[in-house]
Amino acid sequence: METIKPIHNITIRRTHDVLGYYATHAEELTSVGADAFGRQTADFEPHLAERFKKASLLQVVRHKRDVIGYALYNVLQGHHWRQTAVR
Amino acid sequence: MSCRGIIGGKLLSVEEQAIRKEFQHRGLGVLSLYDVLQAEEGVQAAALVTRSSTAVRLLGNGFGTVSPDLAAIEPLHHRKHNQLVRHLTAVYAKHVGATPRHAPYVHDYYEDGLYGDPDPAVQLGCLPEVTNYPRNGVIAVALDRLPGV
Repeated sequence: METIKPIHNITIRRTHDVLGYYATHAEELTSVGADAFGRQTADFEPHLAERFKKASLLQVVRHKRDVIGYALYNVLQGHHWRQTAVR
Repeated sequence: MSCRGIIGGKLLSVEEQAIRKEFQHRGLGVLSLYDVLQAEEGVQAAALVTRSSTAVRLLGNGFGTVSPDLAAIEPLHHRKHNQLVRHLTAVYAKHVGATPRHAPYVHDYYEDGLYGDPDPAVQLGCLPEVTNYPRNGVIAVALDRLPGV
């Protein structure tokens, strides 16, 4: 049985300035995403740029000082839901 | 029929989570979800598009009802019996630009492929419309927020 080793020194930072962060860290984020999804960096870059344009919240996951992950989220408010509400 | 109980709340869309391979399967995706659920007040449901069983199961760490239910013989059973699951799937299909009649499947979502090798969809054998078509994804929706999360 594989033992899951706990990871220490993890920090998660949140920002709503998704595009601002991407503008200054694109290379690092692309490297992380390409590694995570098993893609070539050059192939992954256009995908990532599109994803960052569409997200309103970014999390950056660091191990010690190194960026080891990111997450992109959106929050759909209730009024969006009503547009397709079931009658 | 009414969805009043949840309309007015927030639907969290998990657009993408990426963790370097050497740190995967060690709970960081769950930590990320917990962090955003604690930060965003009023989130009552969550949704994502994926080809990965890991992503579907991720939602189960914050919500009591997740569709598709990968542990069930009939993984889409919540869609048959739960109006809110159908409603949220339709809302989310609109958000991601999917054709509603294909829901919960999203055809050609991964036009240039998101995933390299290996394709995680091999673990979604219960959903052949995803497993057998590398450009397709499935909408996973989650509701019934777990207490304390």
